[in-house]
Amino acid sequence: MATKNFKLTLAHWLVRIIGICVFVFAALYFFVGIHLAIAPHHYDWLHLSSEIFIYDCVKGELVRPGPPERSLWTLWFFLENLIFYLILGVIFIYFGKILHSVRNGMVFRNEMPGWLRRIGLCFLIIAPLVIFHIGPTEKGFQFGTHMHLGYLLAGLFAFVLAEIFKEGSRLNEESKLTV
Amino acid sequence: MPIVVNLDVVLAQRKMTLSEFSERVGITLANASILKTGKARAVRFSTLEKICDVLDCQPGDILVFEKD
Repeated sequence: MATKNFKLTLAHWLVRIIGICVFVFAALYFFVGIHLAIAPHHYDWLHLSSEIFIYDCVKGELVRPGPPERSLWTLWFFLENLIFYLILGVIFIYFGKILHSVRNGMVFRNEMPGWLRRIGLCFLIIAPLVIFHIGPTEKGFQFGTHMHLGYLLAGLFAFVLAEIFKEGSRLNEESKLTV
Repeated sequence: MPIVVNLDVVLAQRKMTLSEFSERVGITLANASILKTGKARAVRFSTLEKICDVLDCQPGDILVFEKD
């Protein structure tokens, strides 16, 4: 039991640290992204060009965004990542709460289904950001998809878990109120 | 809930405190309070048996069905 608690404590702190790192990443994306869009010449040393290549469905290869749209595309790229990291941070906050609750022996508490539903919603929000890619190229806007369905599945799984925990909480409360 | 618990009335008739009742029945004071305030969702037959034994009454004296 002690080992189990130690593992949960470790997992809880790990999730907390990762959550903080994710928010730091989000803040970095926010400030660097805006500055890079305004003054790209300051970031020649950063070699971010490979990051903003997008997939051209017609050519079947990665293409570089055209110069007129470059600033706009860079800003969009960073904003997209900012949203992604912020939502990921929220997921880590709720996951940390769940781990904290489980560690303290309160597995079927009333708040658990709500937390899981919020995690599921966050996953469903970021799933389109990962699956669909849109951006300007030299030939106009290009649209691409990736078969990264992990976030979508994780979101749906969290919703299923929320329903299971809702039933668990109900049974737990009923058991507590049985004299 | 249509099932009403009349434990407080029976306890008053017997002049028994809740703590004494919980001690004699063998349940916690918290559970006795849950039962008395009508928050209980279910009562085990074994508990009901002990309650009837301690209060010298029938289950119908404690539990009453009232239509909404």
